[in-house]
Parts: sequence; structure tokens; C-alpha cells
Amino acid sequence: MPRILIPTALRPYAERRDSVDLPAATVGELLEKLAAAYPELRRHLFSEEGKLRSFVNVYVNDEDIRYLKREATPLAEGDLISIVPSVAGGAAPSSAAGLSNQEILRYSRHLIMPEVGLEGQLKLKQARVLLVGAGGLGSPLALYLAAAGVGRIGLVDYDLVDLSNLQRQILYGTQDLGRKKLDSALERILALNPTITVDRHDTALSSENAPAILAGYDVVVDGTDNFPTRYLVNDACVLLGKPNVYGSIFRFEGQVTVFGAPGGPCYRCLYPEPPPPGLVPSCAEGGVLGILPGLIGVIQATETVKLILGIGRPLVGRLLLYDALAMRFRELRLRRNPDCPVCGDRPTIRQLIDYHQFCGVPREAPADGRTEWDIEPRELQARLERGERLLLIDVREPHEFQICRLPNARLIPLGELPRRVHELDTAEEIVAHCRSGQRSAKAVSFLRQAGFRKVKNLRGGLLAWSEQVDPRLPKY
Amino acid sequence: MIRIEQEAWQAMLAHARRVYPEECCGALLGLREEGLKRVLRALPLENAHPGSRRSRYQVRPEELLEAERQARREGVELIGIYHSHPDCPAYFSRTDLENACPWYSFLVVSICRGRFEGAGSWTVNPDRTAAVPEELLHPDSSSEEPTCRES
Repeated sequence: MPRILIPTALRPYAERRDSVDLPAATVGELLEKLAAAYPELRRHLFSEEGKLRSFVNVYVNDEDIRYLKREATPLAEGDLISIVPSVAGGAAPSSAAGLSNQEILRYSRHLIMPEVGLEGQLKLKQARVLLVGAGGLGSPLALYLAAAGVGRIGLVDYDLVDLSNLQRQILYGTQDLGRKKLDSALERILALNPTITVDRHDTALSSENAPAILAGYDVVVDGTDNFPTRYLVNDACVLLGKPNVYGSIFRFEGQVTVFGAPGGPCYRCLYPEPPPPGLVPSCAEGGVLGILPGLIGVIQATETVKLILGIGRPLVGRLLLYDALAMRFRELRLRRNPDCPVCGDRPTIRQLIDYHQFCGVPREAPADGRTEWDIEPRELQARLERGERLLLIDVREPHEFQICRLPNARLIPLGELPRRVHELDTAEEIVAHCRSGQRSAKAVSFLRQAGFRKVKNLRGGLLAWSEQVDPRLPKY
Repeated sequence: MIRIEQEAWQAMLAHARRVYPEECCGALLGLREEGLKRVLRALPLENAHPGSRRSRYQVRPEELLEAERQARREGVELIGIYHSHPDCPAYFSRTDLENACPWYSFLVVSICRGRFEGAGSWTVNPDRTAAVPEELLHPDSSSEEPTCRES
């Protein structure tokens, strides 16, 4: 007689027997006789329509009957029949179009607004947003978009968390110092909302990698702090037809708008040409109120969510200006420029170009940026210790000079240098310095054009001095 | 009520952490006592889901059959199936319900960023239309409230 093994879990319904011998010619007959002998077992094996339940698999010896003759599979003396269920599952909703009960609760304040509702929340879940830059603007953007349920958030950044970031970059904490921003950001975002996906693009966005990176997203949000990347993001978005939610911040003022929307203007319509290198200071040079990127980033996040949901009036063709000191918003009207080289009627830029060259700024971290006009901090230290007569000129602003300074340094802010150049003697050996070495490089360049020959730039500025020579000098 | 003994608990968490960020799955072997299922051993099984295993798992029936045979040999029962939810709370998802088997307890452990963040156990009705949570006891039951669970 064939013998059927009773799964351990079903034994309570079969008088605790571990196997049953039954005379039967086929698998179907055997199962029917089993169910007849143990009525409680029936509902576990058969549906109410009398069909074998979909998750029940039957094996004759070691063969699945689906690969034999199913329930008509003949049985012979001594055959061993096993019942084994199919088991599967997982955190993913079985239908991409659904929300789990947990998600329904999480997004309940969205779901009860008809402007969002289930349909809108599913749009957010299916949306893919790329944040270029995970800094001051990227922080509130990432947090609010993750909380709102944007299903996929990509982050482009290659920096490490620095103490000077924490005044405004709320994605990071003191415990993250020295870590990769993307690693810290991933943890922080998933702690907030583990149901979404975060892509880490640990790189500087470039003309080479931008098309591939941007291709995977529906909306691009520009949170960068330099002109080459702004033009790159703008051109890539226009060429790929993706909206570019733009934000910028400086000191107490910010700007927000949406570029690259159909029929709307692009960044080049507003600024056809980049400013001359060095004319517009960056936040690292000019400073920024720590709260400012919070406000501007949250406006960018709002526009991003509106674009995804397709609700409200997007900030297309309108440049929103914010002044924190006056606490005032203003709006400028922007129009698409029909002659714009990238989004105009007859575009001349059809592929990405070299944006560093376009903006006239060197790439960050050149292979060996050292020039003959540079002096290394240790070399300066050695020469000062030997008692050499060197005039140290600090070209920072007076309020920076108050934070820290080199002994015997003379303050001549970069902006005052042209009219105070007569205070200097071309015969004197001069070492110009600033916080990071960028402004003093401009000062050296200016002095060289003014006929100074014995002038050097402290490479890496006071930051490098603090790292390499005297750690008592505070970094800021 | 289902109680996971120390050895089974540690083996299951180690398995979940090992395959993170994918989902792990395995069999729970033990004894059925009066009103209590005691899990003595966690037997890791291969996640045979054909697509991404980050949010799905599938047990190969042949492997489950082998687990069943092992349980017979050791004089214990196949009490349940465990699986992990990486970076996701320990809830019984619709996918879990629609692909479960009513004969077993289904234990879900949440592993957030590689760390244990909570667990739950459920049984399902024969039509697989509803899941009922069952009281779960495990060695970390008394630890503080998990941080990854949604409120």
C-alpha cells in the first residue's frame, strides 16, 4: 500500500499520526481517502470547491506530481507520498500599485487630503528624484522628500562630513565627522523612512557621467554651490527633458525657481554667461546664515512634490527671491529666451560641454595644483623661524581676522587691495594668505600684474596652516 | 503563544544579518506544548526568489520537505517559517499573507542597517485572507522599543 507522510503541523488533525497507509491507485484517490478518514484535515488540503489548495504541493517519492500526471499520477506498492506547502512572502507589496497598511498609516495626513489622496501618494512612491549635492540645500530636501514618501531618492556627493558643515547641513551630526556624507545620509534617511530606496552616487557630477545618472530620475534638484555644476545640471536637464528645481543661497538671501519645464525658461535664459571667475563669492568665502538653506531647500522640496503630484501652480517662469534680513519674498518674472543656446528655438548646444572651461574656473583638486607662486605652510614656518623678513598679508575680511590670524599678519581685505596697493613695497617679500588659499591666489595674481615679483600665496591658507603647522589655530 | 529559545534566536538573527540587505528565510523546528509553541532550532533555508531578494523570499518546496524530514528524524515538529524584512518594519505584509501557508507560524524579523529592530509572529486563516498576530517571546523581548518600527 502507498504510504502518505503527514506533515508535522497537520498531525493534530490526523490523530497525531506521522504517516497513514491507504489503498489507492492514484494521488487524487489517496488524498480523497485521507480527507475522508480525517475530516479535520480536509479544509487544510482542499478549498471549499473541493480543489487542492494552491499552496499544497504533493510529491511521490521525490517527484513533484505537477511534473507527473498531477492528481492522476498512478501509485504503486511502497510509494512514499509527501505533502509540502509553498511558502513565500516578503516586505514588498505584491502589487506595485498598492500601499501597505503601515504606509497608509504613515502617510495618513496626505491621504486624507483629496489633492494628494491614494493616487497622489502612489505617484510619490513611484517618483524618482535626484538631489545634486547633499549639503545645506540637500539636507532638508532629502529629509522632507523621504518623509513625504518619494520612493527613490538619488544623492550625488563625494564629500566627507566636516565640522563647518554642521551649522546648516542637518542631515549630519557631530558623530558623523569625517564620514562620507552619503553613508551618513543613507542611515539618516532610512531611519526616517525605511520603505524608500536611496541611491548613492559617490562622485562629482560631470559631463561624462551626468547623462547616465540623470536618466534614472524624473525630477532633478540642484543644490550645488558652484557655477560649472549649475550650468551642467541645467544643460543636462534641458537636453534630457527633465525639470530642474533650482535653489541658491548666499549670506542672507536665496533664490528658487523651476527650470527646464516644458515651455519654461532655463538657467541660461536667466544667466547666459557665467560671472567672471572670483566675482561672485561662494558660501565658503562669503558665508551663509545656517537657517537659510533650510528655508530655500524646503521650498525646493515643496516644488518637487507639486511637480510629482501635478498640483498647484509650479514656480515655472517665476524667480522667487528671499531676503532673510528684511524677511521679504519677491518674485521676478522669467521668460524663456528664444535665442537661448540650449533651450531656444535654434539651440547651438546639443551635448554637454566642458563646464569648468566655460566658467573659467579650474577643476577642484587638480593633479598637482602647485605653482611657483605657492609657498607650503611648513616652508613658511621654517623661513619665519630662521628670522627671515617676510610681510604677511591677510586678505580676509575684518570679522574673519577677529576669529584667528597669524602673528604679525597685516590685514588688507582683497576688495581693498587695489586702492591700498601703494602701502606695499615691491622690494619686500610678501606672503598673501586667506582662509583656504583661494582669495589670496587672486591677491597674488593681482599683485603680479601690478609689478610685484617677490610675492607668494600660502598654499591651502590658514586651514592648511592649522593642519600642518599649528593646530592651535582654529579652523572655520 | 510562540517562544523562541536562545540558540534558535541567535541562529536566526545571525542568518538575517549575514544575508542583509537581502531577505533571509528558514524553518523553525520545535515542540508544540499546551498553548505554547517552543522553537528550539532555526534552520536556514535558501531564499529561492527568482528576482531581487531585497524585499521578497521564496522557499523551495524540496528544501522544506527536507526540513520536514529532519524534524521527523529529530522527533520535533516544523512549527513555523521565519524571514527578515531588511530596512523595513516587522509587519506581516500583503505579500506575506498571500503567499503564506496556514499550517505554520510566520515569524518576521526587522533588520535595519544590519541591526535587529523588532520581530512579530502571525498565523493565517485557511483562505489566506487574514493574519492573526500571536504572542511572541524571545530573548530580546524585554529590550527597549525598536527604533525602526513605524508608529
